[in-house]
Amino acid sequence: MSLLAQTILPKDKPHIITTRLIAAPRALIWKVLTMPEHLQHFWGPDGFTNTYRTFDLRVGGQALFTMHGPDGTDYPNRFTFVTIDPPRLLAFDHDNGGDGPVDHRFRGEVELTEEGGKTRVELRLIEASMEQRDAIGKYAIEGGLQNLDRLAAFVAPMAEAKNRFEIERSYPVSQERLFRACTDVKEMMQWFAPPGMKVIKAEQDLKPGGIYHYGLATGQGNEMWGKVTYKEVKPNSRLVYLQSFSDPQGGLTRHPMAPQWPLEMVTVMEFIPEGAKQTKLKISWIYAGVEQSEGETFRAAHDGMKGGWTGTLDNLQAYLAKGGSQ
Amino acid sequence: MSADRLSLKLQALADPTRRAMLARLRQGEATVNELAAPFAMSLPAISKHIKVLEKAGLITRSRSAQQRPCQLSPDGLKEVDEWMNVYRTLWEQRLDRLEAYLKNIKE
Repeated sequence: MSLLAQTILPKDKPHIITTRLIAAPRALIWKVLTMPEHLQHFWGPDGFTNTYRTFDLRVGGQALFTMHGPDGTDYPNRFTFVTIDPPRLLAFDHDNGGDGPVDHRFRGEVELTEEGGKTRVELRLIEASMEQRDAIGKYAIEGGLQNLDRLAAFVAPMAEAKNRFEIERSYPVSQERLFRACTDVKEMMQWFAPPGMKVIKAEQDLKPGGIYHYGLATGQGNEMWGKVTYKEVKPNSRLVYLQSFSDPQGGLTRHPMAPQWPLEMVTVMEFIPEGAKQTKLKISWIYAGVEQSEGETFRAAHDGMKGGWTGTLDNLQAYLAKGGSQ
Repeated sequence: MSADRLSLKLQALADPTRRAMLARLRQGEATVNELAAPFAMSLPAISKHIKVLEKAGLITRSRSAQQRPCQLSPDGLKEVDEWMNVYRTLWEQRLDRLEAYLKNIKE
């Protein structure tokens, strides 16, 4: 979970309220929340995708869609829209269409409020009773937090393209082979650390919510620690995780050389087949936080990496290496 | 956290005029007037750019000569370059090593 999303459980009302600040314009967030071509990618808890059959955005209109869980389970869903007040409030009655194993009925509300140039998103699940809220409890709380974090990561590059940085490379191996080389700790130890650096710890729990904590040591006695929190593990095709610098205890730390570098970044690794014996590895880093200095630092690095002054820098570096500026 | 040194450098490098000034200084030290020559810019505007570069530690200005010529700071870019390595070179090299690793093993 990012540190930004929070849950509020009122004592006197059967509401489950999830709230998060997102650095994107309110109109953009409204747009992605009301268009199935966007919703299909981020709606729901970690690892879920959606297939929309109907999306009739008017009062009394219905949205019919299937949520596909990370374990392959399908969940039919129905929204019946109650309030449509762009770009502030969307309210709907939710049920599961009546023919599934579950029929979870609640009123859902999504409210968007402008807050200092950013947007506060509040997702309210209004359950029928306190008992129903308690019964649905943990799942809905976790799911709500994950849902808003996914929304934030989805809109960040739409609000500002430089909030995402990508690299990709093709390898002459199968998807399965490449996935294994990138997820099996024993295999990763063969290539992950730079030459001269030694892996001093690599403790991994490869599942959604699991952690990979690793430490590298340089010859000069310096250590570098990293921490990965897995959000999505789709065997052979996709990994989503939060990446941060860390310490030997597994806490989150700042970049040792750039304290304004984002504390956490969403990282997406995609394994895209290009025929039977070739697979493209695409890695995207996304800054989905709300700290202006973090965002600026991330985007400035992006500028540098994607050309602009990279050439200048390389030339200067080569020049300086030859004896400095005297 | 107030603006740290590295962020000052990144901000300084983000501007094309300032990058052009750094490129000019590769050929040797230059006075403010010499640095200003290629640009259709007022001297105060040029001075402002120079101050940004100086504050970021990318250039130094001589104290002895009257003209106070500017020169590149030898270690000015080292920090930026090391830091850039984290995401550019480090990951590029990491992907190279993955390629070598995959070549050497059997499916």
